[in-house]
Amino acid sequence: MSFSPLINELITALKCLPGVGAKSAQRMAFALLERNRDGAMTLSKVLHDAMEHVSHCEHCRTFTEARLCKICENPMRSETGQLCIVESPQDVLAVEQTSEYKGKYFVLMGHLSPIDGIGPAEIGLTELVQLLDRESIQEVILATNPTVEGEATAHYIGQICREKQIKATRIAHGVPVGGELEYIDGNTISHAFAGRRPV
Amino acid sequence: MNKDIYDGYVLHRRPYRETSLIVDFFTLQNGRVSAMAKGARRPKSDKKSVLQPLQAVNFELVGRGTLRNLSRIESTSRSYLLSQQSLFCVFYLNEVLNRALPESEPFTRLFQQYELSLNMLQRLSTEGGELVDIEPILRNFEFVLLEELGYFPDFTYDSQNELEIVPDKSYSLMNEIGFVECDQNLSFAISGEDILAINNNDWKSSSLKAAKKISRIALHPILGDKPIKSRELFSTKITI
Repeated sequence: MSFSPLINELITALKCLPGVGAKSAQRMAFALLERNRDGAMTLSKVLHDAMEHVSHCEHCRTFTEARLCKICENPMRSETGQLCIVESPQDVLAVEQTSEYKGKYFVLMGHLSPIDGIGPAEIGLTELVQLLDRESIQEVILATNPTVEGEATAHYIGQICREKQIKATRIAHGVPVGGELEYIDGNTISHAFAGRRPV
Repeated sequence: MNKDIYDGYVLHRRPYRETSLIVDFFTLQNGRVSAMAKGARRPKSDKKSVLQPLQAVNFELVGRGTLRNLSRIESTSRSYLLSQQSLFCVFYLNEVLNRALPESEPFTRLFQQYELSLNMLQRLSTEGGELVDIEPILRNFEFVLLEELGYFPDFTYDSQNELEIVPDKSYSLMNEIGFVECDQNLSFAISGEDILAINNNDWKSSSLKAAKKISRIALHPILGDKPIKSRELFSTKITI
């Protein structure tokens, strides 16, 4: 059955959301039309504003509508001389939640994956090189994901840091807190053994 | 149900829908094989750590058609832990294989050469090798690939004059024809001495340079015009 053109358009538009197919889109469209017109109006306004204004932070490349994001704006953050390199804005949040780290970030928005056509320039390493030249950074912390691609990205950036004589460190990987060795895969355990340290 | 068991390595993964992956494998039994790994991107999936390149795996595919489902996968040995240049080399090998190999056609010798190359790269990685040590590994691999795909030129024969290649003349490589004598001042000229050295596996700086030139020319019909992106990893000078 087909609906009026505007409803059809709404359903098609909703399908652009991740995990939303034809059926869910239809359900969402009617839920908004029947019960929550105010919410839908707010959504459409915020969605429009966000898409219009949110771009990348000039310093760390994370998403923000301002020129600099909240973290980069904070002068205290530069004092540590540390720069943490992560793959995505979600990773920034994950690290921030620990309150362990007090330095600045740099978000790659991906990782090196040559088969997919993603090389050094595509993950913003040109900007990173400029940033390393411009600011006084004592340590670069490589917090890319523990996948083969993430590892390659870390090695590549490590090489740039070595040429610039900046200390580069890689986050440790191993057994998760509260985990049981029995259920952990072999690769993680061998990483944990390779990175063991004295107690 | 249609079931097959393979031994191989992951060449490449790409996301499919919300939680799945489409994975390209290089297998001993059937060359390049693609499969769908359902649910492999779920937060709690146990397939994530085995579905990585550089990890020897044994896996089972079920279903019919071209894209089959991955039903079981396990690692058969510990994963290679490579660093720096060696790691980038594997990206290069995987990109070349992914582009060059036809689907579902076994290349046993190439598979063995792939494993041999990984072992040598692993050794260089632990002992700290230079780019000079890496190049022969890549060239040997490329030459086996060319041989297996039927693009390998005869390194002892001048196809135009129907004579043997001699050290003091210069040659150029023409695809589908082979080595042809040419003027030594041309940019693509390769000395007969280097060609014979490569044939004898005698790697020195001039023969390595020549081998690189030869493999670029010979691989071109297989890889096409699109540049191999992994080559960018070998230099930290980023070009836009």
